[in-house]
Amino acid sequence: MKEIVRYALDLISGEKADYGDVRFRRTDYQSVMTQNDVLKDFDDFGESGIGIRVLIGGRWGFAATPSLDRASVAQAVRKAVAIAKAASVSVQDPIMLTANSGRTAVFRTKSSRDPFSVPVSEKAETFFAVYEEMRRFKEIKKVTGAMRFKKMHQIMMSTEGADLENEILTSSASYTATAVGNGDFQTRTFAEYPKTTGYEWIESLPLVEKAGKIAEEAVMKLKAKKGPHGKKDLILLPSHLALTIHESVGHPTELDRVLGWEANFAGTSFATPEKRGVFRYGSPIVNLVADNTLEGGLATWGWDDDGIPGERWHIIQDGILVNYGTTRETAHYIGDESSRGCNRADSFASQPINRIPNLSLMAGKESLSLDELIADTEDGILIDGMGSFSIDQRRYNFQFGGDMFHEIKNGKVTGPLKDVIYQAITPEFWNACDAVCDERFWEPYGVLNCGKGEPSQTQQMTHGSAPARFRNIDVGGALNG
Amino acid sequence: MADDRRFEKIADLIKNRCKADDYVVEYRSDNEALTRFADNKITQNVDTLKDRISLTAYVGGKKATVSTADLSEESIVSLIERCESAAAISVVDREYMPSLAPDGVKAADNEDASVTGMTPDYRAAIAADAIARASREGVKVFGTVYGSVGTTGVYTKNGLYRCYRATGAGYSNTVDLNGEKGSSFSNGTGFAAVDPEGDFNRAHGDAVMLQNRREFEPGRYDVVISAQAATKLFVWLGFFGADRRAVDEGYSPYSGKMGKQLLNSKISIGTDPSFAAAPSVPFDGEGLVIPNRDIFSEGVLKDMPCGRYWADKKGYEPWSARNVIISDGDESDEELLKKVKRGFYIKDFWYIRMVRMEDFTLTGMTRNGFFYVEDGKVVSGANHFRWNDSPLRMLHDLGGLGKGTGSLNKWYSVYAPSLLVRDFYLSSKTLF
Repeated sequence: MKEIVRYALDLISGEKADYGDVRFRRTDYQSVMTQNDVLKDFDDFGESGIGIRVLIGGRWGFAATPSLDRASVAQAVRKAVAIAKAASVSVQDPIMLTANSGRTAVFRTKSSRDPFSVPVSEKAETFFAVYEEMRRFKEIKKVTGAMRFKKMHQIMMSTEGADLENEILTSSASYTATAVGNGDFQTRTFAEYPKTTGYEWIESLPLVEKAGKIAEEAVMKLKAKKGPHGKKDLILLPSHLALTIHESVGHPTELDRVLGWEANFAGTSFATPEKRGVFRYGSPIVNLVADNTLEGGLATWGWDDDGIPGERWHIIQDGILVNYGTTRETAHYIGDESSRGCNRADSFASQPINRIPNLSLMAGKESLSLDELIADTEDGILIDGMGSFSIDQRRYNFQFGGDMFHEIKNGKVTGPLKDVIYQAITPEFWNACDAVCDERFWEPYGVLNCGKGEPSQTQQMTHGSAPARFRNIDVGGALNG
Repeated sequence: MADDRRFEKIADLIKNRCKADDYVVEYRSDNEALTRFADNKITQNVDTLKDRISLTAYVGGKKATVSTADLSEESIVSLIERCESAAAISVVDREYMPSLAPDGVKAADNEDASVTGMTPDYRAAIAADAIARASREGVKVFGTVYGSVGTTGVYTKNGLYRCYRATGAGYSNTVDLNGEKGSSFSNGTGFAAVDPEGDFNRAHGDAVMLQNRREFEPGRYDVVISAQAATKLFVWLGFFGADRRAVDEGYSPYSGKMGKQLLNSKISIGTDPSFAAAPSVPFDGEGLVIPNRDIFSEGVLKDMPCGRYWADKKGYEPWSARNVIISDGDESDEELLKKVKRGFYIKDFWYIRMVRMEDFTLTGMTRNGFFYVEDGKVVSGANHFRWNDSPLRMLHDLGGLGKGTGSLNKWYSVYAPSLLVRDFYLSSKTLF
């Protein structure tokens, strides 16, 4: 495969491009979807191809082809060059890249069992066993299971001497029970975090062991009290906080968005460059660290699609906005001499764009357990899992639901709630964080389906945290107007 | 080789080679070309081709689907072998339905030569015009211009063959004047439906009007929602709960409500693949023809899409939907605004998500063009709000119905009218 990649690179070099890179990528996807005791879908999909990116006269040209013969690849190179030259009619503010040194390296996800070699029957039977555990609850009408696996193999070479190869394997499993009764229907989801690793991760999950509890909680929600209306202290578990981190810190600190490049679609950001180093984003205990070297992290790829190696850096340090997620074409706008390595494409056929890195809330420095945090809370709500989510186009006003809610009164969990929605303004919310449990309770949840860009692309990243408390957050107003 | 010829060849190969008891072949090809500009410069420029063949095979009642993007003969032969092997060690599909046989219905393509003949220079020229316009006006423009050619095909062991080719073209832009933004888009099956100059002028006009902006508090207000904004809102009606089995088993917002008057009697909602302003693929993934059919008729919940297994079990007719077509009225936005004593004019929405499925409560933000209305007239721009409300309630408590517009996309096209909604719940403010 390297031969055809080199062939394309030679063709680019002959075009006198300012820069060019060639990515061969093969991606295999597998999904196993069940409903009750029925296999609804078992899909095994593989795609491969070459993406050509050239920079000529300060403008990008990108073309891709699934055909790997020389004629098709040469045609793709010609197309990319023609596109870049056509775009040079617009001469303002040419695209520039920060420095990068060409390197040769190989990176592979650590794994011991290839999920693609595990029979579909083994995967489906796991969910059928979950259903067997749940069907004793007469209110459970539907149990949907989903296992998803992705294997990406990429060879990337550039006109600057990059010769990089990586192989990333991602594994995830979840299921959802739907309960019907009491004039209502409610769901509860088992969703341990996805990881870049092999099937051994799925085998380690208590999928069947927790089925009874998940069903019980779905049924419990049917009869639960509706969520209150007013100011409450929230204790957010890592399974929930991952999405809050993603939306209220991850996206606002993507530098392309900060620069306004997403104004027509994904939106811009309030976290503008003049705030760097001075803006109090959160309370002094809030430390949000980007880390594309995190073991098992969903964005741990070795290097990004600019060829920049993964690194670890603070985005929020002691509550202050100190940095961004950057790429080679955005970093220089804030005076940085190098990229943080956040340029990623979701396919050989997509041009890479500025994406969120693995980004996590660091555990508290003082010893603090979840039980101690609950015991220290007088009037609050404990939220587990992800639910409804929405945030404005500058990432200030957000609203989140969750999957399971428990009322806390005078330091004790007093019972389940349903229909809980909270709403806040991003910096006010993070400044209301007054406690984070210690590292014993830190868990790396994340998202597999972050959408961005035109044409739309999907990407994955990890957002870890320990349970954290946020004081006096508006709850319930959304549903009580 | 043309996409339809390529698919025919693949179908023949599978017919001759595949020994599975039953199978369905699905084909999808997408050629997308897009130029993206931001902050008055071209930032992205792509032209990509993606193909996918999926074979779903049944062996002894066991089911597997294997897909590939490599359409070479060697790859398809390997696909057949891998799919048969995977099915043999899979599990029995307890809801198996035999694949469909020919029914004599032929799918008509929906192709426009202005898209198939589009060049990078053509897109670059449109983007450059927008940038030049923005420079002249002293504003910033952000947007896209694109064209796409897509082919969808289905072939079954029982001999059904369908193939459909469609084009799409579009332009969208956001114009920024002193941090205030207006937006507009136009799209269709060809570039005749695309109006870059009009979209720029509409977005620029809104940005100018927003220079005079006032602060308001959350609450329930009468609002006029433009047709463009309405397409972003009502696409959600196609995504959640519109499934007969979910209705019957009790986990749809429509459970227990079949036959009831849920919406204003002026509103009918259904699917129609041949609807010119928002067409869709005319068959589903099994090859079943999508009808022109109402879900709501004059406000009454009349029918519901239903999968083949559930239809067979319960005695319904199977059918599915791939677009949302909402009946429109004849009032202009200005006429709708005249009915508002004190409220807002919403020209764009953002980040709409489900909050509570039981009553179809959605949340979202106002975005870009958002104006305060008093005594029937737009008075000023307004601070943006989060809202929480149900589209079913909005279409029930309707104050007026305007003209519709289409929004075309390959997943779910929508045709929706502008409308006056009473007591729309703007639940919280944001900081701009």
